This record gives sequence, structure tokens and C-alpha cells, in this order.
Amino acid sequence: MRAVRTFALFALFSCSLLAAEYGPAIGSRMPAFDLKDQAGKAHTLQSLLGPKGAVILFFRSADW
Amino acid sequence: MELERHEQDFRTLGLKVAAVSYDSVAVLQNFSERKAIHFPLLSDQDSKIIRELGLLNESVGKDTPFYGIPHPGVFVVDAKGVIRGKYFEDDFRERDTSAGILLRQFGLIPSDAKSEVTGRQLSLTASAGNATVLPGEHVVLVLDIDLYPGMHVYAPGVEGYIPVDWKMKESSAEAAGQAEYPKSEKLYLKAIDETVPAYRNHFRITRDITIAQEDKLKPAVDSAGRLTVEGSLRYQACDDRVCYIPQTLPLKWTFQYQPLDRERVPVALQRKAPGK
Repeated sequence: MRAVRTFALFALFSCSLLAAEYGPAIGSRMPAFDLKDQAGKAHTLQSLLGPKGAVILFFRSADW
Repeated sequence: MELERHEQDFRTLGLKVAAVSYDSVAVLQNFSERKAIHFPLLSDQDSKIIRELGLLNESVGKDTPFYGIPHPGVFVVDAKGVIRGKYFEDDFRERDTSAGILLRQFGLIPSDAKSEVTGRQLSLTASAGNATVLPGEHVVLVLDIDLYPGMHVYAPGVEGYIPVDWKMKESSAEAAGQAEYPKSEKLYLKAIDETVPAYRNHFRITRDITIAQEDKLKPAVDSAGRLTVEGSLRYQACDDRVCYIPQTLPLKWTFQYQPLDRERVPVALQRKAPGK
């Protein structure tokens, strides 16, 4: 049983490597965060989730 | 910011919108006031979450003010915080538009940029994810095809018949990706006793184009600031008795060109290289 589980984990891991993309794989959990917005107000992942979730954009900079 | 235009579309779908960068709160405040941004711009000044997600752009020199920027991209997460979609690019000048994400992840066409073409055995609507384009942007082009009752056209991969073929005209203003055809149905044709891959009723073909950088794009923009890209759709339609003469329909998409924003925050707020 343990061998099967280890193999499943390995398969999962190699899939995400093969995808060779940025960030965690689709289906994995977004890590928690706590960041301030432009008005100094704090937001967490939880507070940003709407009834269907959220669209979170990473952009290079607001200033160049 | 392009996302601002579609924030309402995402909200209607029950999704909140936020954007993260390595900028200070002061830079984000200045930017959001200038651009009238109404959703949270989050400051990850030490690039902590950017690193944790594995998004740090390591190709940027450690002693430059740019160190700490992420590979730009978008995550779509569900109500439980599980990642359901990812849109990332290798080249920081190329990006997926939020309109493209609306289309790919949720099947929505947010812009009104549509044109209709009526052919002999079908009608089609050519539309796009965006009405405006920026240099380096990815835009999704869409063809919604409606065959008249009783008609079918052949899908790519068919042997002995002319399949649907969407071509783009060569242009220095954009690079066209491959057309993405939907799964076809296996249609049994009694008259010829053959089963062929075909489409009936409604089907949608999409394709990504990448808008060129400013130097190549500008000469293609007309005096009204519009960029037009063209293509054609070739098909042969048949009903259960006859096949009609192959047709080629002209296709056209027109966008408003938007130059890159080069305005910066006041010098005092600008990010300095580490240790300076």
C-alpha cells in the first residue's frame, strides 16, 4: 500500500515538473498570504475569495 | 490596467479580482489614483509570496531596482482557494489578457468587437477577446459557425473531402498561433455509406494571436489608431444528398491600438536598487 502511495506521489510530482510552468500546479491549493493594498488595507487569500473564487494577477510593476 | 475593464465581468461570475506586484503601497496608491483602479492592488514588497509561489524572475540582476519582479501571470482559484486555471508567459513582454482568460476559462466573450459573415450554407460570427490591443499582448480570436439545417462541413483529418480550414493572412503586426478546432462528430452518411468526421449546427474555433512589439506594430496601425487583422475560412458544405462548391469566406477583426503606458510615479516613490 505504501509503495503504491509513494508511486502516486512520484507520478504527481513528475507531472508537475513536466508541465514546466510557473507556480503551483492546477488542482493544488493557493498558499495563504496577507498583503496590504493601495489604501494600506490588509487582504488575505480568504478575504479575497468571492462566491466562485478569485482571479489573482501577478504583474511586474506599476511603475516601469 | 486592462483587468479593470473586465473586473465587472469577473464579479458577475462570482469572482473577486486582485493584482500583486513588488511595488510599495505608495507606488500602488499613486498608480491606482492615476488609473482609477477599483480592485485591490497588493504590495508584496519583499517578493515573499512571489518567491513562495516560485514566480520570482531569477534572470533579473540582483543589484538592479527590478530584482524581485515576478514572472507575470494569472491564477484563477475557486471558492476554496484551489488553483483552477493558470496563465503564464515566458517573455515578460507577452501577456494573456484578462479578456482572453474570461473566454478560455469561462467561455465568455466580453467585447462587442464582432462581425458577421453570411455564406451560402452557413453564417459565422468573427469576434475577439479584446476590443483594444497593446504591443506584446495575446488576443483570442473566435469563429462561431452556424450551419444551416441539414448541412455539415468536414473536420480536419478527413480523407477525400475538403476540411474546414481557417487561415490567417501573413502580417508583421501579429503572429498567429494554430487554430484550435473542437472535437468533431463521426457522421454516418447513408448516401455514400461512409462515416466521416464532421461538424453540424453550431461549432466554435479559436486561435491565439500575439500582437507584435511597438516597432513592428505601429506601421500596421491606420490613422484612426485601428489595427485590422485578416484571414479566411475555407470549407465545403454538404447535405445528405449533395456536396456544394467549396467556399472561401473573408474574415476580419479590427482592434483599437493602445500604446504602452510609459508614465511613471514621482521620482521620490520610484524603487531604488538594493543598497542604494
